[in-house]
Amino acid sequence: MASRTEVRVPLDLWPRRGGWKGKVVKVYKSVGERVSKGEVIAEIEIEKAVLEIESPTDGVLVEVASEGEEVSPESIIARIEGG
Amino acid sequence: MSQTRVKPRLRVRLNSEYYKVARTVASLGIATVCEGALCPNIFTCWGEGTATFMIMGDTCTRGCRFCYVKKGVPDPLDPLEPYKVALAVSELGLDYVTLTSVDRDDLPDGGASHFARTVRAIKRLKRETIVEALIPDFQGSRRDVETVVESGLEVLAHNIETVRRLTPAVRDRRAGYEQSLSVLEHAKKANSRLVTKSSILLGLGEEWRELIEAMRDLRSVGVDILVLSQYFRPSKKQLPVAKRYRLSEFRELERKAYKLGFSYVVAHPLARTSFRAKEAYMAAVARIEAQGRGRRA
Repeated sequence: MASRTEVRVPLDLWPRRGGWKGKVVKVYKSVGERVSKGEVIAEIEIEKAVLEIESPTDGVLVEVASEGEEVSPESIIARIEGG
Repeated sequence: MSQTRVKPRLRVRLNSEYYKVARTVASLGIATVCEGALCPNIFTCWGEGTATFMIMGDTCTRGCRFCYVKKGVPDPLDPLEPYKVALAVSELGLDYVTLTSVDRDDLPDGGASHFARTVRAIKRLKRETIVEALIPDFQGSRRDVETVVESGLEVLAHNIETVRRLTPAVRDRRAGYEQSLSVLEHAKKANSRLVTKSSILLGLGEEWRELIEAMRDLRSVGVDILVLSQYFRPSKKQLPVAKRYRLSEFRELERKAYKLGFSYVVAHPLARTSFRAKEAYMAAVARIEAQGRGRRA
């Protein structure tokens, strides 16, 4: 069975202000699509910046957040089946 | 222009240096302005193994309308904080440290002696560490400014933040344009070898000629390093962005600033007072020494 990787909003972003919230404003990949390591999967808008979340691995997207979704540290942005 | 387009785009990339900084500051319970202000440069700075320590807690007694740092009634000072910061400096192997703080109008000396203790604790652990402190205005108290200057730091920064006209609308009512200039002037008078530094946030509604006036005013009190950066609204509670400056405008302001005599100018949308602080200091000192003024007096 192929390994599955969860892509989360890192908890280590501004750790002491862990309560921050953002919104998924752009999703570049859809379920079933191949992604490569380093490729941007989605963008999260916070008040001060737009964060580009990249894929940590090569694989196929089996789940991805939708545009407009509210996220915070630890929220899952995508699941990737590896290999 | 939509709000999204005026925001910087940042690639979330956390390397081992980043995690080391996160671990160190978390384990010692030290606040950083990188976190407190949701600074967009956190990936760059932490990724390069450096951070700006925010001492005297994470709650500020002032309510400046551009700033994201928590406001309210702060906790009492942590008497061990100077040592914790010194330990973090040593653990991270920093040869250049930037300290900043919340404003502590609740303390008799505004926290000046705590600042001084922190500088001395760092120097005791590693004497050659270069220390830069971004200080509050201490309500204009010269004695408090001297307390920090006499601690042996190399760079003293205090921000005027905006132009004269906008100061009452942008900064807390206890802050003042003239008061901030006098802090910078007095620091330089107290030690002419000290490098002084100040920042202006662009995009709060200032006019071009007002910016030039502010730069002139900073030079008139001997400020060596100028930082010009774009204001980004941290949340709906802060002032909206009135203008996004083009890079060409940053370059033009930079040229004008050098003409006015600043030893070093950091002009970039994402620049912040402590961003690339070591480079700015080294370049400023080289220029000051080349010109044979100040430091060798």
